[in-house]
Amino acid sequence: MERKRSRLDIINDILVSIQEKKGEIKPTHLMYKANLSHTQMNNYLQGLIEKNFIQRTKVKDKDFIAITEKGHQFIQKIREMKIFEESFGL
Amino acid sequence: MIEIAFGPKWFYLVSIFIDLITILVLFSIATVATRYYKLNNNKNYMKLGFAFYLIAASFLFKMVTNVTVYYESIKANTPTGAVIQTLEVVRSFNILAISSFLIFVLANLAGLYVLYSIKRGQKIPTVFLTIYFIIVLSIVSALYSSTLYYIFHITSIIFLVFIASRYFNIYSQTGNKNTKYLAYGFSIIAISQAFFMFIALNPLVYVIAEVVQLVGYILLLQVLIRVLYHGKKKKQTRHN
Repeated sequence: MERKRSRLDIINDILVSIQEKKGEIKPTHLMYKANLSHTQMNNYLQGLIEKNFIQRTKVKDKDFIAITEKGHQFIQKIREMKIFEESFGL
Repeated sequence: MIEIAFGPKWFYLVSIFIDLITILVLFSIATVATRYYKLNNNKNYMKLGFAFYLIAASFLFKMVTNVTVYYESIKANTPTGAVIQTLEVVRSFNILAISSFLIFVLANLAGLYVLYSIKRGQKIPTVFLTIYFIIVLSIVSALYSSTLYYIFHITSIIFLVFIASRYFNIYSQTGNKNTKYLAYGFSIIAISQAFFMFIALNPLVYVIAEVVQLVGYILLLQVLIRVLYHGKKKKQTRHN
């Protein structure tokens, strides 16, 4: 049985989903890619915008969510942490 | 009376330098572990960080011991008029050297114990080692004799062998190369502890022990560098 995702796992999934779409994603696509409900996603997005990990943008009148440099750095930190965790058997 | 064993005089400064490198390696790993603990609140990170800080602190005290003895040996070779004053200085240095050596022993063993007690894939019952650890600490604190040196290194070997075998066990399950290097690193440090026990035979054995120990800690540093290096994966952005 798969373990429940932690808050950090969900944040990582959101940021990686945006990164994989070359830095910008439509909110509906993000919802499916990160496997979140609409309410959950909005809560997380609000928090991530406040932390300056992502920002809302508009391209040809369509809403997009873009990852910031700080967001990229955070993904890198989580990636390092996971490699550290696997290496040290934590 | 307690005895502190050292290598040849020409090696004193090199030994201090080796300790400094070891402290930097241990401190770096501890800092990274603590930084990750702040990120995900996993207690194992905190334990790992704490263990490495303890071992780093222990080496700091070992360095103090070495510096004290090194300084004392220089003083002893310097002719001076005030004999009584010089003797008093030497005596106070001895107290400092012995105290810092005792703190080194206690902090080092405590660090290794915390490192061992981080649970995952452990086969040896923790209770057994906990009891043993308490007994050793009692002996170390109470005995205050020349046997302390041997008790310390035997205990270190026991902990290090268990830690290394745990990493070998994890490596056999995951195939993670970093874990393999950790297992090798701790095994080499365990071997160095065995060398430390035979320095009475020849002062050069102390040199070998220090160098072997340094190789072990450099392997741990290599793991940290690999973790940080592999974490840096090229990002993709539409506007790049």
